Amino acid sequence: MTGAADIDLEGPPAPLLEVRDLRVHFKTDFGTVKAVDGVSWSVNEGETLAIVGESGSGKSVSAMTILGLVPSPPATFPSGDIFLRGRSLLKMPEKQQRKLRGSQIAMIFQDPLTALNPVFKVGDQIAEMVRTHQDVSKHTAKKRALDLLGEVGIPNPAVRVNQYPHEFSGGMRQRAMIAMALANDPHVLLADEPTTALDVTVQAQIMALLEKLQQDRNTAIVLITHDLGVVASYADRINVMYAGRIVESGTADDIFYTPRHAYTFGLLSSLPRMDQKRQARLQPIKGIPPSLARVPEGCPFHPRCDFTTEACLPQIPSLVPVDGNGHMAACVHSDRVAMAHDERVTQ
Amino acid sequence: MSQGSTASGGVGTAENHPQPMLQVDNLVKHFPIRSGVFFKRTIGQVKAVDGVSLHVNKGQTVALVGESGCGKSTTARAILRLLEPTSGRIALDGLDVSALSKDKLRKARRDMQIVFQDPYASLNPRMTIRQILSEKFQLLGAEMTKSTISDLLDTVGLAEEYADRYPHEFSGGQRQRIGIARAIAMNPKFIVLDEPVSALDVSIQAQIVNLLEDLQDELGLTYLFIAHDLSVVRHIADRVAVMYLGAVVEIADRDDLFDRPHHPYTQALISAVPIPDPKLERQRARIVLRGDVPNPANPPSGCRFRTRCWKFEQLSEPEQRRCIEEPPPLNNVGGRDNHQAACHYASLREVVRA
Repeated sequence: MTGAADIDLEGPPAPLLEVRDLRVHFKTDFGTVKAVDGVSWSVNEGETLAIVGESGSGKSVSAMTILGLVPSPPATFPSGDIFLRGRSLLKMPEKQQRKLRGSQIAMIFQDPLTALNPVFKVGDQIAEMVRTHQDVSKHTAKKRALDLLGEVGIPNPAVRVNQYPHEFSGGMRQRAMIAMALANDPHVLLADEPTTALDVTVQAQIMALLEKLQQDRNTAIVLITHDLGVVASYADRINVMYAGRIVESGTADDIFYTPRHAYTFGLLSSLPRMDQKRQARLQPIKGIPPSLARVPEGCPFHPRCDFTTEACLPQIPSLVPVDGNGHMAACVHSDRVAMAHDERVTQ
Repeated sequence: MSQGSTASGGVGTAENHPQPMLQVDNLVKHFPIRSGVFFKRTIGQVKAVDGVSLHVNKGQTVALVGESGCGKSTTARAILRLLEPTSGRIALDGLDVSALSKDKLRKARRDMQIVFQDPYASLNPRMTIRQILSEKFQLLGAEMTKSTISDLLDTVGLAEEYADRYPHEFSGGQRQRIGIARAIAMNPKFIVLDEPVSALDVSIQAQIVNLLEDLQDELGLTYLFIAHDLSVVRHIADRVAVMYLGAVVEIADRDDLFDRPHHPYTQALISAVPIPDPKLERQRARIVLRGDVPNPANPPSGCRFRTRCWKFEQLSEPEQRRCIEEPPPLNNVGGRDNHQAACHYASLREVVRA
């Protein structure tokens, strides 16, 4: 790729993108907010990794850190590294990092209206993205913008390319964002709640588009969301986050059919299901998610958990394998969770 | 649009209940589009609600579902006369709300309340919870005793000592509980719930849904539940009305609607909702609609959904002409008199598990 960083993406067999033991802390008047506290994950070509969690679980911060969008100060990074095909992103000089961001790794944000600049034409914004990373003429860049708008399914792209963001509907703005993210053929697409602001029929359109683009280009997608329905339909692997940590990790089937962490189990039990006759009552998780400045001692979920015993208190449970196939959970009582889940399913 | 003319628009099960709590007939709300700097001329109408008829029986929940801009919130606000309806009749427990004077309307407001979507925006940040709740009693001229506020907080699951705190000291779920406390304070008959759980996290959402159901049982409340999340609707509603571009396109009892949807839009809507079950999702076929919702100032002729309809594309030309020329009325479908759909070619298609 012209102008892209001199990184050998065909290199040795390392994961395409890897985050290792990442910690992102913020110093505030109320104490240190540990937004991300020791998170590791990786994603490969053509794969969709979902990061699921509620608001304030730290799910967006790791993605923002990858793109260098977390300002320091106030953020500190006590530990961790990010590897693109085995090469450390954080140890690279800033200039080289910047080359990779936007070209090798691109991001789609939740709210396309705030992510697009209202005073520039959509086509010009996409063309700018092309010219930032590729040495091409303005004319060629604009032509590329036109092609991209067509590719993401915007009708009548020749007209749309010269319109402003406010002239686009919500779904079309999100398509324009995707076009911008694809401008430099990235290998990794970080999608932070890409459909949360959209209606379900438009969500279906956008997710179908992302799936198609992934198949055509073999892109790795990191899907950050709170919507377990979206996760079940589109994710290959899932990381469940709670209070800045990954508490369970596995394939979509692992997470939905054999949850081994009490929080995952609680989330699944609390969901109303459109495909089932009405349950007598929903089973909510009690209490509220903790403030990240005051995460409870021991297992951070223990004050809200129905399985809590003394064993949960002494230390934060570490993420350990629960079977031989990569399914991991950080729960002292994963056996009891498994039994409770079986019982609920057979009911 | 003459969809309100079908009196059966929602009266299907009315025989067992002599008088519904809420009866809405042919409700219309148009917003004028004005132009000009000094002399404002009306150059068009946004037909936000265009002939909606429905009823809600005592102690029941009817859900109004649809996508943004379909007019569901406008319908709810026009029913409460928070927005003045352009035309139509609204009766609450037999009382014609649409004809009330301002004074009488204020008195009637005791019986009809609303819980808003965003608990961050709907509570005054400068007032304590006690002030927010007391204001209600003062405005509507009702008696308060010493224990009123603490009883109210207790009912919605908040501790009494929270009464003197400010809204910013609460989490989203707690704020929504305060919004609910404010709505039930005057012991109303009917409450509009305008997306009450959409802004909440999944684990908190279930707490609020359970609270709403408990209150309905204890206080005999009647709900109109506005939502776009069909999973919550399937759980909470007794009856569901689907809106598209200002009109009801299908209305049926809950299980009937989800298991036997007849309108192509309802089918597309249900099929688009992802279900948290990976194996099921792998075999489900999703109906992906083309394009966006048309401009409600200039809706398509005939059937309003035809420009995005997947079934329209499969029809022959003479059949298509009917969709273009003739607005479909809400007719009984599936051989049931409490299930109506507004489609010339309505037919069953299973979409939840297929």
